[in-house]
Amino acid sequence: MYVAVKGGERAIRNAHRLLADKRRGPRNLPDITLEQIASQLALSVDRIMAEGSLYDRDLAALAMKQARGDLIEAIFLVRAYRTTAPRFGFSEPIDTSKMSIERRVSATFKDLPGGQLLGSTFDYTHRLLDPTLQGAEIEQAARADVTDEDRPMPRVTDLLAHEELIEGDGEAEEGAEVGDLTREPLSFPAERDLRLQTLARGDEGFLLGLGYSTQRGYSRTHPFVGEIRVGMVEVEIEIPELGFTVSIGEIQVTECQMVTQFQGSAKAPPQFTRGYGLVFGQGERKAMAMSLVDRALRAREFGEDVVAPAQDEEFVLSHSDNVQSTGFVEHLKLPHYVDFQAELDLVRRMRREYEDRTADEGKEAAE
Amino acid sequence: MTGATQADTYSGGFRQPVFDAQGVFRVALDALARPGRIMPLAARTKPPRPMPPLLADILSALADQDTSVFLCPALLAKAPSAAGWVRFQTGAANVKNPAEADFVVASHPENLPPLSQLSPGTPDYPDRSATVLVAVPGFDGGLPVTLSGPGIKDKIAFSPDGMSRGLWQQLVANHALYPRGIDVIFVAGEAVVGLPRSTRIEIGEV
Amino acid sequence: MMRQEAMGVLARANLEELRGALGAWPEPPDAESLRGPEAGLIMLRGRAGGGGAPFNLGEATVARATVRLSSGEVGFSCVLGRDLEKARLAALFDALWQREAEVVDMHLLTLVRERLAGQIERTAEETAATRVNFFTMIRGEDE
Repeated sequence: MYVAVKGGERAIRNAHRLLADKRRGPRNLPDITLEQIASQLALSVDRIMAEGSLYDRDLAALAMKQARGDLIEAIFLVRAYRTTAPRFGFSEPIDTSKMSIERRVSATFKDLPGGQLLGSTFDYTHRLLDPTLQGAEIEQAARADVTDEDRPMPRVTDLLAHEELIEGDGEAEEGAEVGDLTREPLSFPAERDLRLQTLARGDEGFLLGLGYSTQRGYSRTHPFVGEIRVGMVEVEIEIPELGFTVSIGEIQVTECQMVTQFQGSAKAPPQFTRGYGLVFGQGERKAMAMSLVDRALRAREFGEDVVAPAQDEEFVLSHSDNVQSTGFVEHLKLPHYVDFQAELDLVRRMRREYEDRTADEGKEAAE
Repeated sequence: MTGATQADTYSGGFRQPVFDAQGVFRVALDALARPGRIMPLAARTKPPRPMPPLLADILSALADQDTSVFLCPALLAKAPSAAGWVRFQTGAANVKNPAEADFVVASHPENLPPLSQLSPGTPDYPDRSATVLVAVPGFDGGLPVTLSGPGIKDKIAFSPDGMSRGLWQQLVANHALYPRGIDVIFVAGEAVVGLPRSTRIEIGEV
Repeated sequence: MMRQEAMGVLARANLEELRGALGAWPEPPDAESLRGPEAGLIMLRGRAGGGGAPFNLGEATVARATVRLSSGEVGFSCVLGRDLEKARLAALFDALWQREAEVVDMHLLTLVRERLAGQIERTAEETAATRVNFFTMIRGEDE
């Protein structure tokens, strides 16, 4: 039940002023710029874009600054912003096979056309804190000649599709409506388009935990990374007045193709099946977790028993959004005085009844 | 590329999109909240002739990329660029089948498709119904009807020109679907009148 | 070059390049605004598995504009980001391109294409330097 609470205006104003003051920090230090946030804390900014479900580095950097580095608060700010903006349309599906590659690795095939490119990665670092980083001169990245053999870089799954040992991408039904959870609330069972949209904006930590659970035996999968690729892809939209599509720029995305052994069922022959992850920016952990959970959620399609949390579509999709989660969890700290008063009265009454009853029983026992 | 036909499609939209849309929206809201009452509204758009400007005003305020618009064939025959104009100014898709439309637009009541074909919404989502925008020659001189219900104190007389008995009977049937049903906004000259599904209609004078 | 291609290059031009190219006209080109410039969103789509059925990935901010030159050409733009001035100028140059393609090409598109090619090359070279060849070691087997 909602009961309005009045008062506290001055305290709230001052609390916000204190927040602004703390956000600024000691005045003898330079104010951090949005350009610094966007370039030097780029992976936080990417996460805000991915989970805020809005590709705009500058806005994500602003949100990060305004939220004092609290990523979920920043994501909340970005989500709030997007509700105020008109939508002009939708893009053609991005083509990740034409990506300008910044990183591309496969754990399943060591020699693949285009090769393996580590890019800028934390992999193979020693995870030792580096005290010299502060203020250090950093050398420019190394460069190497690019040969024609480096391009193009087909997706690993495209290379294997003809063998039929691995499932294909599936047929795209032309003209079919694409579900959009920002327009129609989710209902269950949800099709894969809606599941992928939910996962793409879902909380990295929640999906990571669920993905991990599938590896530990909560649902039977034995996953391998078929391919991870990070890079820029072109965005095209159709302009109805012109009758053709135009390119409006590029976005950075991370794509993960997870390959999973599948024993076969009444519905499908034994083969490798796949889970898919795609997120804004450089977000490899999130893309991998997403692909694990996407595969687990396809249980129904493959006739697998739904036995684990990661396979339970309603559980996963209803709890993966961190703005929803934080809204409901955090509202508990707002005034609930009337609710609580009512419950207090109830507990007092039950307590009296309990005491009366035990007193009676004691008397009977004594008699 | 011919400049002349393009000019029709691209020009004549709201000059101040935010304020114009808010102003028109307010009047449309008041018209539906006070059914049968004539609400003055000065046209702010200049759509391709002879599309009645107030139809274009209301579409510009209410329709967007997520909605679809059916323009009656009679209007499209006289103003072929109206379809492109609506698409460009509002972002809404033009549909040929009135049953798929969120907004059904007619330049005269006799050009309306049978109202039973239009979407009345669903019991779970009665808001997913069509809104009819129809131009009439004037708000008097037609077959008189008596309106009552929410937003009307007692009863109100309404006699828009150009409305046939058959069409009024369809609107009586529409009211019976409540909470489902279509809503209608009439426009004439520089005024609009709302007739939501909630309004009870008796054919004949008060 | 097709108009489609020119519009793609204009979407990637920066404000400095767009403003600089205006200098190619002795008088600022006379254009009327038909829509915008205005900021909004585009829903970006991906495909399940990379090549399967489309799904909604998330939105991106865009700015768009439509202008008409006094000579009648109508120019469109839609560009990623929220830079309204950039959108206005991109639409203006789309219109100018229809009238004087060579001038737009020489003073703007060529420069933008060169800058983009340089950026792409740089990224490709930096990435190429991280190319790795993994060897599989066979363990525990007798020679």
